[in-house]
Amino acid sequence: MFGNCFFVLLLLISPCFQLLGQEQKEDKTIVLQGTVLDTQTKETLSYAAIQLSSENKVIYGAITDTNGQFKLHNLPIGNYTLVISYLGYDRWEQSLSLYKNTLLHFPLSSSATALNEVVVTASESKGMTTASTIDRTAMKHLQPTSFTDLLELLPGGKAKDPIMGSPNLIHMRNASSTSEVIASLGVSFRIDGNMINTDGNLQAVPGVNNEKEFVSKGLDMRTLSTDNIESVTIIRGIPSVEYGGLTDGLVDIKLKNKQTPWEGRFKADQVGKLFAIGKGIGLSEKAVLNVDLSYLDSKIDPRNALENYKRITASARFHKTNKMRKEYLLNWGMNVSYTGSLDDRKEDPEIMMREDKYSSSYDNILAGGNLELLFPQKHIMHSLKLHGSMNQSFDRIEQTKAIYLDRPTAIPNTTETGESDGTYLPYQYIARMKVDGKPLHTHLKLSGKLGFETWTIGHVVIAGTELTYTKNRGEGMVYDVNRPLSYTSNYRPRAYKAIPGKKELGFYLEDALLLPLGQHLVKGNVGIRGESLLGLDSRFAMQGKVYIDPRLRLLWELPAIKDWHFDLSTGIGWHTKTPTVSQLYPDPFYEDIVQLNYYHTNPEYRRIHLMTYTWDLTNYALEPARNRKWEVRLGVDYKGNKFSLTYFDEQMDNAFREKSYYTLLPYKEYDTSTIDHTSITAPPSLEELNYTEEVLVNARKNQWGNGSFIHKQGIEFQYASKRIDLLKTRVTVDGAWFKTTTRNSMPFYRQSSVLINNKQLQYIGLYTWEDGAEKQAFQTKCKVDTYLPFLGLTFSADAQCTWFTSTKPLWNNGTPEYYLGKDGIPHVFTEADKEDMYLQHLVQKYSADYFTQEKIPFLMDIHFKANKEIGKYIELALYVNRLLTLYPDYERRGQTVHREARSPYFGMEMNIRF
Amino acid sequence: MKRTKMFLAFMAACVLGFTACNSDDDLTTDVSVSVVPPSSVQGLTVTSGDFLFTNVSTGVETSLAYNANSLILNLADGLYNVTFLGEGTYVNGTSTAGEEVKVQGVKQNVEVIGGTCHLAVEVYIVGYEKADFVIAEIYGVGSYINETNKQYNGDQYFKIHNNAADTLYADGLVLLESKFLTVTKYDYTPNIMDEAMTVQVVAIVPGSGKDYPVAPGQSIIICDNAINHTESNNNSFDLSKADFEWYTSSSSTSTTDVDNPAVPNMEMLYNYTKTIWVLHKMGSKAYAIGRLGVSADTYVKDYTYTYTYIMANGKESSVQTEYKFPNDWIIDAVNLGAKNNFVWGLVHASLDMGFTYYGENTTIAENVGKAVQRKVTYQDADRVFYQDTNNSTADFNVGQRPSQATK
Repeated sequence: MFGNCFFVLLLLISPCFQLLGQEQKEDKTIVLQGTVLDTQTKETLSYAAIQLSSENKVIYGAITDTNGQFKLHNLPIGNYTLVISYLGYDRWEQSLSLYKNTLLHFPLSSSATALNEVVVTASESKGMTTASTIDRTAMKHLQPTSFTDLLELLPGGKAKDPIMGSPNLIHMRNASSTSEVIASLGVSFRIDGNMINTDGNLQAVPGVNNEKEFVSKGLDMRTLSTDNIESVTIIRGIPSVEYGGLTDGLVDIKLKNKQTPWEGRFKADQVGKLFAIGKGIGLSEKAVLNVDLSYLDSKIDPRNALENYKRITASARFHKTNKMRKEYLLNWGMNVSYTGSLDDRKEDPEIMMREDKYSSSYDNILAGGNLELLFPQKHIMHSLKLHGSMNQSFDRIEQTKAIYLDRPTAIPNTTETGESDGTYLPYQYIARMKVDGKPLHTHLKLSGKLGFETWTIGHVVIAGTELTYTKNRGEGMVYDVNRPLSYTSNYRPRAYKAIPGKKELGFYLEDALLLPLGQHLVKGNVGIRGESLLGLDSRFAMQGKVYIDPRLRLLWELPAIKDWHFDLSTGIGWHTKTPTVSQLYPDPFYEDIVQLNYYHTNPEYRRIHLMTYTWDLTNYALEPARNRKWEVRLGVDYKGNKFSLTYFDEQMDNAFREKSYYTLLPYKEYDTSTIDHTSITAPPSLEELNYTEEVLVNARKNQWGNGSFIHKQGIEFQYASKRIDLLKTRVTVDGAWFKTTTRNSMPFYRQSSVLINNKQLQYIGLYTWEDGAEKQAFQTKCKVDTYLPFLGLTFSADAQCTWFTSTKPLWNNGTPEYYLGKDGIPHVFTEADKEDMYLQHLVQKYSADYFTQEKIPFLMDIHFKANKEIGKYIELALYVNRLLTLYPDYERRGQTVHREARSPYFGMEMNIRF
Repeated sequence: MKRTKMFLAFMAACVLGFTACNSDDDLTTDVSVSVVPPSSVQGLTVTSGDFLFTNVSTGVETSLAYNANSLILNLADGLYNVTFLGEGTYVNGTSTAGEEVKVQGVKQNVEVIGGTCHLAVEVYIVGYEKADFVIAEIYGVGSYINETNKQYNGDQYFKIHNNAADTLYADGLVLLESKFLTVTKYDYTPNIMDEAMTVQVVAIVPGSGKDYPVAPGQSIIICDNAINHTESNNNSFDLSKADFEWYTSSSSTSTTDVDNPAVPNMEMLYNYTKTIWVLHKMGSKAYAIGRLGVSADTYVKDYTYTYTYIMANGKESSVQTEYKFPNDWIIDAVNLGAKNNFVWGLVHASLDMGFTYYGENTTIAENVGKAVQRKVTYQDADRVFYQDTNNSTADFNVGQRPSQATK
């Protein structure tokens, strides 16, 4: 750490020496000015390294500023050699004779585009953070159905068959799938700067597990069509402080925003059909209107015609640049889009009731606008941006179910704590349930960018503030409480519109520094972001608090040695995600305890009497989840052959998890043995019955808290070769080793489910050990793709290998630290208690090798993909996943485990341009 | 081009690879069999009988008559269940004249492989125990609900019959449900099947000893809910006059158990669930009756059984804790399992060497509304005697109309 500080200090001071040295130059000097730009896109390239050597070996160095410009002062007249190097571009070398002040342009060609490059994989970022960019070409080759399919291209990613029957949630840098909600909730999605916020999603039937629900789990990627996407950048590392509301990563989607002909796509695979059409209409030289429409109809299982998923998306985006006086430019745009999806499930009338059906629909309208003022080049101010969006969803779950009871079942009649008689339900009825959610999300962001220099240090400063407001205006669960869908529920209907909204303020300040040091270049990025929830009840610990996330990133570009470019970077950052509406304002919980259930043969004399308890599950101590990431990175570039290697370490001590607590609920147990069942003429009156006072002892786990500890470590790498001219072939090897440790971060209460001596176990345990596992995975992909321009043919073979996956449970002794009985007093759990007739059931036992690592060895899938252009207007594509597989048998505890790969998955599509 | 050729060659190699290993289905093995009396029984000589080999996967049956000399049979390789039913002479204690007895034995899931193998089937004397209660009927699938094509299962019951010549008391009679399934076999370690049955329910008939007499030839009904089930389902029946009901006193409305005040509840000494206890709907468990050999508290404290097994994915299970019920305390046991899915018996072969079933397959359509009932050996003027050879395959009638059904 001290070494680093010293190094930075040295860098800060060194330009001063240079300045001192320059003062003793000859009188007759000239100035060389230049602009470095991309030969194809004409974009200026900032931070390019300029090296000018005179004949007598004096070297002058400079770095281009954010506008791609550089200036070398005090040059003696003479002959020079100029070398410009820039990561990802071919080296520029030129001899110059300088005899007067000179202004030149240097168009560099990108190493990638040098061969008219076609990249069908994700490209690793060249910048300061770990990110993958996936462009249109890669998507065309991949042939995705939804955004989910793109994740295959990330290091450590694998091709998966589409799962359209349940929400598709994103996970990053995880060794295996995970049940932690933060994994997907902690990834923020932006589409053209519009924040896709799901914090207001409440579509669920509480207490009922349904694989189609995803409350507090972030975005369902099934709803994202890929057809109007120009490019996607997935930041796995530390994003700029400009982005908040995330812990794990950022998905930044750029939609098509340029003039195009009509483009149509039709895809069919084993489960679905997809149709998309779009056009970019040039209205004038500086104004473009993009429109598109897509439709997906997917079965969940091709053999089942009763369950399907449909998606419609449509969007219109207008963008215009206005030239204003004094070289000011105004970029502005408006966009509106619609996404509708329908998850439908019917029961087979041959097997089940005709009435039974389930549908979950989601209609979303997103409208946004942005205004960007670009200042003239010399101005200290670069730009000012205003961005606003409104996102209204209409979510609806409708379920009809014929209920047939197996035993007399009663429902309570009260919504408050207290005693009351319940009502027996009829044995057969039709239950209808509607869950109506109308989450509205608004987002307003104002930001500015300015650039200046202090000594020779270049600064680009961005500052901004954003305000988000989320409120669900839906009716919530609507049903007849006397004919409930789920008569076992511990919840009562609640209108979503009565739940407070969530207001969040974010602000940030970031300085991107540039420290040229001769031929070395150090870029720094120091940022700070604050986030605060506004308008919270004063009981919340979060009320009035500002959560500060510092993020620091450094990149050191070494001088180019011939065509070899090396860069080293490191970064550390904190990332905060505030709780969702559902986590902040959970539904109250109800427990109805039966005190008397007198089920006389004669229905007239029956009586069920209940003690109802209700309590608020709001956790006022809830804090935002906060992830600390750090990473180091090495990048190497040689003539367009790129290699990068990242080591990362992320730790979250307080991720969201339902925390446990215990309840001691007193109730009466009425004794009906004193009743003469034969002579009774009315339901028993409670006053005449004896009762014993009992206490129900329960451990519960249904209140949101900060109870998860997640530690993620790993190495990600990518090697991407230049296209080998002779074979027209490019090789990309990427992979990742991930190690994820997940466990509880708080002690927990646990109960046993057994019944002893007519009573549920009257004790619960308090456990202080770590309950979790350490999981690892090492996966690589090796893709060989060939592009034959004269045939218009691209084909690729992709060997995806899982070298191993492993799981190792964290050690614990299975014994509670304390136990509690009806009195609620914690007692130390002793050795003797392990033999107690009741308490022994609180001990979790393990076999001898339970805690040893379980490792699953190598397997490989080989996928094949091809695109072929037919004439000017048609392009055909097909893919076969798992065309070849290798799943060798392996030994586990002396037994041979035989594995079978799933059968190949294939699809094809046609793209038309007209 | 070269790539394409390589690729084709690789494909061809794979195709050949697949077809190459497909010709090992004609292997057979010579099996030599013998019968062995248990070590606790002296003086038993088997005189005649038949072995029946049933191939578990193909269902093919092969029989072999017993003779005292060499018994060798050539069988296709596979997994077999072997039963032996026969006769023998038994010299009891000091008497010199041998008594003619029936003997039987079983060995399940025997792997016949490797060219030659030997198999010893342990045999028992049939009926060599005092007459007592027997499980006369099990009704566990529930009745059919016309509207849903589903089963209504609040009306499950057992019929327990006094098969003895004297009055017996139901007080303290224990009803047991096995923890394991007869349709899925694992090697539970440690294996305690020779000494006890692994149970997940221990329900006891209340009473102080002589509260609930059952006359010879009379039966009692122990059911889930002693109510008139025709109120909810026309296909069901009235159990409100049942003798006992099981009640888990679930204190939560979310799964209310119902209690008819007029019918005494079973004492639930141990149950794996604190909500409601429903018998296995496809009948893939074993059920037994017995009497506790120790006090209830001692039982709860000392008779836990912890075990592990290797799961289907090759991973060792976590340690499970259930209770064990010693074989000596068991009066009668019945393995249930759909005929086409049955894999193994869950009690020691001396308690039940066979199994019985509601239907041949585990489908609701086939099983719903059906009971298994013990065969009647003979019936005199005032009572029936049930057959009890500790072989439920022989002792039970399958797919029967429940005795409590009135229409």
